[in-house]
Amino acid sequence: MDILYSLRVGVPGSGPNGQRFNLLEGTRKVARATTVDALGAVFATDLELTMAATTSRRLFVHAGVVGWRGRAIVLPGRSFSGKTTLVLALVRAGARYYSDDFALLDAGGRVHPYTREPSVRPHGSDTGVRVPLTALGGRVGRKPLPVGLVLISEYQPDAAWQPEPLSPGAGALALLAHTVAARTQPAIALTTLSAAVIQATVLQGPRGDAESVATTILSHIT
Amino acid sequence: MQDRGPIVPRARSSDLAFGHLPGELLVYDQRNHRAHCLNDTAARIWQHCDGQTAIPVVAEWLAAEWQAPVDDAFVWTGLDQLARAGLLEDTIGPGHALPPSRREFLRRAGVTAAGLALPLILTMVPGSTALAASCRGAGKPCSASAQCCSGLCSGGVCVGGGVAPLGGPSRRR
Repeated sequence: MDILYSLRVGVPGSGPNGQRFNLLEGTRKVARATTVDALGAVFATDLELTMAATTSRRLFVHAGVVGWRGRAIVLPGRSFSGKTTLVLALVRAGARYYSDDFALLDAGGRVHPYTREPSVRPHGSDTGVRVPLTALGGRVGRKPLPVGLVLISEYQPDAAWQPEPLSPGAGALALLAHTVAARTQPAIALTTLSAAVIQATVLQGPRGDAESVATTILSHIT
Repeated sequence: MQDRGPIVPRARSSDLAFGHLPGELLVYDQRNHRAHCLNDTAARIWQHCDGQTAIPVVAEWLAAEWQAPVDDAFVWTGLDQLARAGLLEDTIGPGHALPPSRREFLRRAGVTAAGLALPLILTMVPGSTALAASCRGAGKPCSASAQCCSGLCSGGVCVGGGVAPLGGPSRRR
């Protein structure tokens, strides 16, 4: 057994502010809450990140991913960069949904589906709401795909879509910046990312409204 | 001043992880968690830094490999960037200044010989998603010549042609 999560429950009224439910990973304190349900999402996220940092079978990269014409479009980005919005716009434009959070790469550089329900933040909110996959109209990817396009872009209001091409190596660095296991498994990360970008187009530049650029983005894969 | 003999640069070999792409070399420095992308020119210069070979000989080797004239100044350009990236042992410190004659040569020659791409290193800084180039291409703003790939900053702008684009692969004509 490599990882053990524990739920420690204090007596009613114990804990700061009544937060008597404690989630631990080993001896590491992950979170505390007043109800078990409140720990559910935290547990899922923490487990996800722990897996991402420790597994050697797949490389987890914070990125949105869609499939188009047999290739993956990978959108690396941190939280609040507009990944989910762009992913959903690309799906509405005809692409297949693979993930709005992680690109899951195998040793050959192919992207596997990570089809957790996308999380959409209502305007002005920091909290996401899960959108059922069925709401995507069935356009969900099932097969691993080679990477066709790495798009390094963040939303900027009124930005003109004029991305600049980068080399595959620059694309690999950009993906590495969002790779969970970059520090713990750098050799695996570099090998995997090199395989991923070797035949990919890499573009960088700000984008405006997702719906208005989605079709243009898809046109980069012929 | 005592002559300490020719400089023989030595590439670092420890605490590094690698990724290989056609015309590019990815290097992860486990000491400071910075990652670098070397174009083909920078990678070739680095690979010849064996701690035993003087710079003029490295230039001769590269000239033979590329079938193009390569002089010490060209090699120095790469070594300077490699040192700044922390990829050399302490034979050459970061920011080692080019001898005036070599800097002058760069200015006169306009940077590259026979279409060779200048050595270029992109660096990813921990905690940042921005890529930083080891030198600035033609037309980019500058405050010192050492900032420019061409070795010449004029009027607050890097000048010089034949410079490899930011992030672009090196090309030989």
